[in-house]
Amino acid sequence: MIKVEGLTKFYGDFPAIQDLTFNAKRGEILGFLGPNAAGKTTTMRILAGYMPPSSGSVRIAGFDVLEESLEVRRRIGYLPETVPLYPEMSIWEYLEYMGSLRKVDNLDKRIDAVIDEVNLGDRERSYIGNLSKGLRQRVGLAQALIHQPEVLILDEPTIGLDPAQIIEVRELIQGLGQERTILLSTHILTEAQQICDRVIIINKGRMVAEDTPENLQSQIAGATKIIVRASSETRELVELIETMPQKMDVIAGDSEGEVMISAAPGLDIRPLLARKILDAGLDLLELRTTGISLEEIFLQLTQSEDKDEGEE
Amino acid sequence: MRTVFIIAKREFRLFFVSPAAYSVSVMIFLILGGIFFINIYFGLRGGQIAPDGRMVISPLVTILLFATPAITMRLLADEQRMGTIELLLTSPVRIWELVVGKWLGATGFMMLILGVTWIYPIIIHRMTNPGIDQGVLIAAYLGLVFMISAMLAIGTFISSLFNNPIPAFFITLTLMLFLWIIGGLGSGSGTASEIASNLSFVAHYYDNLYRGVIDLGDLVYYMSLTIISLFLGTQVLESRRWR
Amino acid sequence: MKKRLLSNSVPFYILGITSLLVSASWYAINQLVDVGVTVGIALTVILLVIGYAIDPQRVKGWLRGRQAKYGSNALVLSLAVIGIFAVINYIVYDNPKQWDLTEDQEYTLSPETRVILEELPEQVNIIGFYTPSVSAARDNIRPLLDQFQILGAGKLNYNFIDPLENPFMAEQYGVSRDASLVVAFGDSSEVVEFASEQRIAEAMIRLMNPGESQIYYLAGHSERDFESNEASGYGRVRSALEARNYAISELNLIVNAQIPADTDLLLIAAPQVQLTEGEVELVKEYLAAGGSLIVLSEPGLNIEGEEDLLEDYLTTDWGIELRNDFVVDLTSSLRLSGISAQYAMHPITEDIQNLVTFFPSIRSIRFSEMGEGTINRVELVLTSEQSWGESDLQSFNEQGVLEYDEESDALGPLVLVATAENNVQGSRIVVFGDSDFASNGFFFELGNGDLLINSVDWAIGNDQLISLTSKPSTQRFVVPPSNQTIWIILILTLFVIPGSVIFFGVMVWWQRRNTR
Repeated sequence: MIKVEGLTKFYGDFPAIQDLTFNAKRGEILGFLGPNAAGKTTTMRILAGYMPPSSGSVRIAGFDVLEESLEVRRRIGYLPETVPLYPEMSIWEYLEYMGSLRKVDNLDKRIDAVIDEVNLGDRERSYIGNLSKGLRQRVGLAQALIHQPEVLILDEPTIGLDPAQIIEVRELIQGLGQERTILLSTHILTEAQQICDRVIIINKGRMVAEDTPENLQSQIAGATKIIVRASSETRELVELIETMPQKMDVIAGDSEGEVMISAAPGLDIRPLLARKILDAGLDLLELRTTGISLEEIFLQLTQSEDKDEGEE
Repeated sequence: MRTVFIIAKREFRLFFVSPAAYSVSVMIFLILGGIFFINIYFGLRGGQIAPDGRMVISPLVTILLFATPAITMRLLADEQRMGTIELLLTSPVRIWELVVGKWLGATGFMMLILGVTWIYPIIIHRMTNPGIDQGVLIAAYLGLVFMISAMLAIGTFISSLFNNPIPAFFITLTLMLFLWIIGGLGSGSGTASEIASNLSFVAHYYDNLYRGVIDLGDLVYYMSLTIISLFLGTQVLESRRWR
Repeated sequence: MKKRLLSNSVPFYILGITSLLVSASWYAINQLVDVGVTVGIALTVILLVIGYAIDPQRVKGWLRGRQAKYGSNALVLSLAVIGIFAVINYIVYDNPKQWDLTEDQEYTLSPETRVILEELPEQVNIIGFYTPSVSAARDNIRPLLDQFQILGAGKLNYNFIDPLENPFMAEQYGVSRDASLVVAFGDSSEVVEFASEQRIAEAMIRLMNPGESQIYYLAGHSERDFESNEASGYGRVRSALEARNYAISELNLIVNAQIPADTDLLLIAAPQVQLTEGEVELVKEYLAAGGSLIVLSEPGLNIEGEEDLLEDYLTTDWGIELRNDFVVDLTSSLRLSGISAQYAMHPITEDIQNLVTFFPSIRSIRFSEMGEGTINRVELVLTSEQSWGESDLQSFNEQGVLEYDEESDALGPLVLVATAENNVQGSRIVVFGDSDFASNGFFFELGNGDLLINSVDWAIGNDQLISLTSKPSTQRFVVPPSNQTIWIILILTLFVIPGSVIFFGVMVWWQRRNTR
C-alpha cells in the first residue's frame, strides 16, 4: 500500500530525513517512532503530498506522490500534527466542507457516521473555536476519515490529550486498522507498543530499526530476565537453579532468597523453574519476568547516535 | 468547477461572521451615506442637485482602494498561518480551484456591498425628472464590477505570498496605489508613457466606463489583470509542491 | 563546512535583480541609455557575480535540482501568460470597440461625420500636441478620438505628443498652441485648435478637397510686415494661416492695379499711408463681386479733418464707422487697452467665449444708421461699461490727461471688432479697431491670435463647412425634495443601512457566543 524508497529531504543544508526505505501492507498499522525533531513530521508531510522530497520516491496505492499527486490525495486521509481547523465553523459545517471538497457521496449520512465514530454526537453544532484540545483532535480525525480513505496518515494523533482521551483515541485507531493501512507517528513508546503492528524507529532523520514491537524487544534485549524469590538462602537457590539443563545465567538478587535469571531468547523457562523449586520442597514466593521495555530499546538504539538534535 | 463553488461558498459565508468584513462594510456605508446626504442637503440649500446617479461612485472607488486589501488580506495568508493550507493541499483540490474559489467568494461579497450602494442612484432617480441617465449608471456599475474583480484578484495573489494578513494588506495597498498613480507617469509622450497610462487602474475606469461608454479595451484590461493575478497566485501556491 | 565571511548569497541575487528591474523601468520611461541605466546594469552584473562567487554550490545545486525544473517551468509559464495577455490587450487597444450607453448618445458621432469617415480616401493621422500640464484636456478629447478611430475603420489613427519633448514636430506642423490637434492627410495637414467633432470634421473636409484658399495682404502703404519676426511684425499670423493651409501672398495694388481673380480674402493691416482712390475702387469692386475683407486699423492713423477713402467706404457702404478715439478703461490693469468684456454669439467667437482678447490701443467702432437692407452687422467684441473712447488725443499726448468728456467721448460698452455680411453679394468683412493685438508680440496672448484666425476662416467661409445633426439633449432636473423626504433620506442612508449591517453583525456574534 505504501512504498517508500530512499526518501531524503534537505532543508537548505540540513538533512531532515535521509534515505528512508520502508513498506506498509494493507490493513497494517505502522508506527513511526522517534524523539522530537527526528524527522517524523517531515516524512508524514512528504507522504501526504504536502511537500516534495529532495530525492527518493513514495508510492501510495500504486501512485507516485509527486507525479500523480491528485490520485494519491484522493486515497489518503491526513491528520497533521497541529490539527488545522477553521475556528469559526461548526463541527458539522467543517465536516461538510471537507467532505464536499473530497466529493463524498451521501455526505450527510457519512458525516453522521463519522461523528458517531469519533464520538462527537452531542457537539456537532458547536463551533470549533469553542472546543477543547481533545475534541479538536477528534474533529481532525473525523476529517481524515470522512472519505473512508485506504490510507490514513496520522501525525502524533494523541499529543496533548488527557489520559482518558488518549486511550479512547488509541482504541479508535486500533478499530480503524482492521480495514485500512495506517501510518502513525508518535514519540510515546507505549503507544507504538500497544497499537502498532510494526514500528519504525528513526532518529536524526535516519532509520534505526524496523520490526514488530515484540521482536524489537527480544531482538535488542537478547534475553528475558526472570526474578525468582523462594523460602531459601540465596546461595542454595542459585545452586538449585544451576542444576537445570537449560543454559542460563543466574546471579544473586537484591534481597535474601532472590535471584535474577537471564535465559536464552525464545524459550519460556518459568514453568520449569517453578516445578524445580517446588520439587525441591521450597516455597515459591515470587516468579516474574521483567521485560525490557521499548524505552530501554529506544535508549540503546538512539544513544549510540550523536547527541545533537537538529530542527524539524 | 464544483470545487471552486464549494470553496467560494464557504469563503462567502465566512464574511458574514468576520468582524473585519462587518467593519469594512459599515465603514463603506457610513462614508457613502454621509457623502450622499451632504450632497443632497447642501445641494438643496445651494439650489442645485446634479441629476447624476454617480454621486457616490468616485468616493466609492477611493474607498475600494483601502477596502479591497482588507477583504482579501486573509484569504490565503490566514490559511497558511493557521496551517489549514496543509489540509487543502493534501486533499484532492487543484490549486487553481482553491485560488479561484477564494477570489470568487470575496468577489461575491463585494458584489453584495456594491448591490446595496445602488440605493443611492435609486433615490436620485426618484427625485429627478424625467429620471437619471440609466445607461451611464449601468456602464459605471459594470466598470466597477470589472474593476473590483481585478482588485480582489490582485489582493488574492498578494495574500498567497504571505503567512500573515498584515503584510498582505500593506503590500496589496502599495501595489494598488502604484497602479493608481502610474497613470501620472503617462502624461508625457512616447511609448513608455503610453504604456504607463494604459496600465493605470483608474484611467481605464474614468476615461470611458464612468462616462457611460463601454470600451472593450477597458474590460479586457481588467479581465487580464484578474486572470494574470489569479494565475500568479496559483503558481505561488503550486511552488509549495516543489520548493 | 568551510567558514565563509559572507555565508548567504541570496541577498545579492535579490539586490541584483532589483537593480535590473529598476534600470529597466528607468530606461522604459526615459527611453535612453543614460548614466543611471549603465550603472544599474553594471551593478546587476557585479551583484550576480558576487552572489555566485560566495556560494557557487548553490547555483550548481539549484540548476541540477528539481527546483530548477519546476521553477523555470513556472517562470516561463507565468511570463507566457503575461505576454499573451499583453498581446491581447495590445490588439484590442489597436482595434477599439465601444458601446455608447448614454441615453443621448453623447459619445456617438453624428451621421455627417460618419459619412466623412466612411469615405476617407487615404490614411489620416490625428496628432494631439498636449503638454503634461493639460493632460486633463487630453483625457477629455480621447473618447472623441477613439470614436473617430473606430469609425475610421483602420484608416484613421491618433496619437499624442508632448510638444516640449518634440518641439521640432510641433514646429513642422505649425502648432503654436498647447492642446492642439493636427489632422494629417497625406502630405498636407491642418492644425485644429479647440478640438471638437465639428472642427475635426471640417479640417478633414478641407484636407479632402484641397484647392488652397488664397489670401492677399495689401502692401505699399507701410502696412504690417507679414515676413517680419519682430515684435510688431505679422510673421506669426502668416505661419498660423499657413498651418491652416492658407496660401498667403503680398499684393501691391499700386504696382499691379488689379485684385487677382483667385483672391479669397484681402487683408489690410494698418496702412500708415492712405489708400489711393484707385485702390479703394478696386477693393469696392472686389467686394461687390462677393469678396472678403479684413481691415485692421490703428488709432491715430487718421489725421484730423483728412478724409480716409477706405474708412469712408466702410462707413457708407457697410455702416461701420471707425471713431477717432482710443479706448480707455481706468478700472482695468491695462488702462490703455481695449479688453473684451463680452463676445457676440458668432462662429468667430464660439470657441473663445472663455478667453479674453485684449487690444493695446484701439479705436472704437460705431454702427451708423442704415435702412433695412441686405447687410447684416454684428458687434463682435464689446468692452465693459467702465470704458470710454477718449477722443482728445492731443491733450493726452501733451499733458497725459485722461478724462471722460461727456460731449465728445463715447461711453462703453464700445464695439472693438465688427463683422458685416452682405447677403446678396455674399461678401463678408471683419473690421478691427487695432492691429497690434495680432502682431508677433501679442499673437499668443490669451485669445488674440485665435480671434484673427477665426475671423479669417469666417470671412473666407471656411467655417461651418458642415452642420452636424444636433443631438437631442435630455434636460434633467432634480425636483427639490420636501423636508420630510430629506429626513427619510437622512435616516435611510446614515442610520438604516449602516445600522442594519451592525445589527446583523451583533446578531451573528450573539448567536455564536451562546452556542457551546
